[in-house]
Amino acid sequence: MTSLELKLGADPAKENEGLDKPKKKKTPKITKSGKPSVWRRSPSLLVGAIMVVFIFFVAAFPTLFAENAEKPMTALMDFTAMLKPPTAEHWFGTDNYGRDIYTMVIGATRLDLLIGLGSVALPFVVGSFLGLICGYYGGKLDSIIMRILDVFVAFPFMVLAIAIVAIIGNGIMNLLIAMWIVSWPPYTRLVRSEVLVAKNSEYVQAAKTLGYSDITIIFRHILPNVISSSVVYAASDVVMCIMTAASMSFLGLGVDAATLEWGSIISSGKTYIMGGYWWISTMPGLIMIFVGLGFSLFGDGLNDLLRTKD
Amino acid sequence: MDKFMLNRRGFLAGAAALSGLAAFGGLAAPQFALAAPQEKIVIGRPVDSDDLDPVTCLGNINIFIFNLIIDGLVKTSNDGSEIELNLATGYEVDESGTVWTFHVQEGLVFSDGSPVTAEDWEWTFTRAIESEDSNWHMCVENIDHVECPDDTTVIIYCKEEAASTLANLCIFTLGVQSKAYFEKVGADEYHNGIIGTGPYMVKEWKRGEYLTLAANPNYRVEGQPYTKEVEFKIVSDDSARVIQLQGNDIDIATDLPFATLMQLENDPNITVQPDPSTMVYWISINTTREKLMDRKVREALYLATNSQEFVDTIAFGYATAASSVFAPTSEFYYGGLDQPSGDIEAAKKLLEEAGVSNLELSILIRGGNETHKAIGMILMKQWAEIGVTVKLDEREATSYQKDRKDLTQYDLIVSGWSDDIQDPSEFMQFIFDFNVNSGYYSGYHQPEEMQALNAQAQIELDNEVRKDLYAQIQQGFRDEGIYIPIMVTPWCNALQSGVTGWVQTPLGNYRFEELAREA
Repeated sequence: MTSLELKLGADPAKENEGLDKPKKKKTPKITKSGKPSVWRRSPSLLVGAIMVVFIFFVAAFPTLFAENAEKPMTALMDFTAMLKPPTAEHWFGTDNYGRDIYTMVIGATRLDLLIGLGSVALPFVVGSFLGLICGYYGGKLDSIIMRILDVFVAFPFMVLAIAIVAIIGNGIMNLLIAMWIVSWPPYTRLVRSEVLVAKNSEYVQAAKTLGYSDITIIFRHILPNVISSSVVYAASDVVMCIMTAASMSFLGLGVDAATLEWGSIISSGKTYIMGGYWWISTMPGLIMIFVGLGFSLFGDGLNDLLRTKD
Repeated sequence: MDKFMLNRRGFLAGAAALSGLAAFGGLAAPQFALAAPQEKIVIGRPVDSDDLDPVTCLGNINIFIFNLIIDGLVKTSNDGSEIELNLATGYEVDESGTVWTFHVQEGLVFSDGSPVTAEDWEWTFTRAIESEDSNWHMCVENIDHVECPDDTTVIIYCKEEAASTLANLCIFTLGVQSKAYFEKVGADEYHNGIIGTGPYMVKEWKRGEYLTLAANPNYRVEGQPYTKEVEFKIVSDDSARVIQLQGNDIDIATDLPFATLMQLENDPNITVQPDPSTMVYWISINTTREKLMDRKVREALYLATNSQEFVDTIAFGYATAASSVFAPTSEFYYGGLDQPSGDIEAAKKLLEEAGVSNLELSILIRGGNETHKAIGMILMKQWAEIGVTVKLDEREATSYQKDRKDLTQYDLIVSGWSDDIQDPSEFMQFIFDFNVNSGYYSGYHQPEEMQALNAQAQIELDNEVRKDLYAQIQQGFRDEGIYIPIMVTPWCNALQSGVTGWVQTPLGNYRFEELAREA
């Protein structure tokens, strides 16, 4: 007699309770009085969240931080103020076109966040979906998708991204497409490995026994229990995607020269860095460190939060 | 100078022997023994050559090297102002001006030791004239055929008398090459290196990494070249090239950005050498675009441009503002043209007269080229003042090369030219022969009057009359408003302070016979 057969006689109502059990446990642990709040249990989540919220705030209201941040590129150029070092007037100095680096960095925040989040969103959804399907059904479909995934993983991340952009051309949309194409494999792998374990869990077997459809089982019962690792990965992947986009722009393969983006600003300063004009590349670099740190701490905190539950 | 070097070398050899003796004898080695030249000089450049076959190659990255490997009958002088005899000892021209008889030095041998024969001369000329793969037909199209009755006589039969004949004979495709070597290795392998009579020969080429030239052991000038090996090392990143130069990893850095030159001026161990060149940058306007067909619109764009601002912003004073597509180093340069000086009010008025507003234009630039990018950026700023929006269309180098031949791909394009011969005839072919590159990417068919002026300038023998004809042509370009001159830039090189004898002609050719660095 198999375990499945043993469960056939069980009360469906009780089984349903069991299915919701993991969800129900989650809420009380966090909100129950007398236990430390999530923020106290995970200081990195608190600090990371503050930093990320701040970054979003800057992206949403750039003119609060730099009044010219939303002006067109040509309005920022001032040939009478070329290559000025950081001063009270120009906090981050100016570049070779007399543009205020601080204004450029603030102005570029929205686009970089968009690239970071936009690059992660689709791979997160598609990669996780494929991981669910592969892990749940297995068989030939799993083999085919995993072999395709192996092909993508076989190429170094940057090399593949550069090759794609070289083929389809520069530009924000093409950059996002390149990022989408190269970013999905980790999500598929993460989710698939979790599903392989989860699909043999009692609650899944019970759901099958109760005659729930595959779609219900996958999305209602398995997904909430396997997605946490992907969510954590996505938080840190935002940083990776911003960095990759910046690297692509640095190499002249990202956004065009007239678009404000942290990587392109750093790239534009590389010619001048040896001449002592260090601020053009350094200042946006420092901001990228801040943003990277914020998202990393946030991801680390999420990891603590979600994995503690397990 | 040759005598001096021979004496110096003999002297150094003696000094070396003396220092050996001194070492064995317990004496102090004399200081002057340290003054021996380095065996090898390393030159850092951003891009590697891709074809060392002079007939099929394209691009300065190949062209500049040929003067090191092959020699022609004549050559341009180091300062680019004259045409000098090279392998020829003299020449005569018949009364019709179409038959040129050159007398070649006796006893010439290729770098592999084989003699230069009449067959080699004939083959070299015939291949340059007839090869379908050649990109340089315009320089040899006036040559009907060549006869070489013996190894030291080359008779060139031209189709018509032309003022540019001698200058065209300086083109690198006519540098004598070994026919036997070509037949031995085949056309495909010939792209990897050739056998000539120049001071150097190809020793090793690891594509994308380095190209090493070794001194030609059979070079006709005794004692030259001074340096036994020259290595062209690929250092793509500008900053890395500077670091390697300052770190003494390379002896010479070429193609440096202007900002870097400014920085290196303060380094006592480095000599910044912005050599005069014929390199001119301009904007070609695509006249096949409906919005740019109106000459008033083109004129408005010309007037709104301020070329001096490009010089100040991009070149930090190393370049000069251009007023023509001809370089001022050319004797046919016409100085009577106004350089674009940013007359915003006049430009606005013209746009108004043309009934154009909210004009949006895309400018095609080569990805990774900082000068192209900077030109596009500054143009964006300057033209914004007359309400014209410029969009930078940056394309990867290979796509750029392909797309610029397609007039549907752009409104404007950053163009540039440096002469390959000391005569405007080659350059003018690129503009007047629409099939070469669509009127230098302007899509503009030159009218009959201009074509007639150019045809006359090609054959006119009186230099003063030629100058006047080319002045009219340059004025014609200005009136048509198809090219907006930006700036004339030098060859931006920097050398270790011990390097001597560095020559890059205004045409860009390297001449390294006397290149040396004291060890």
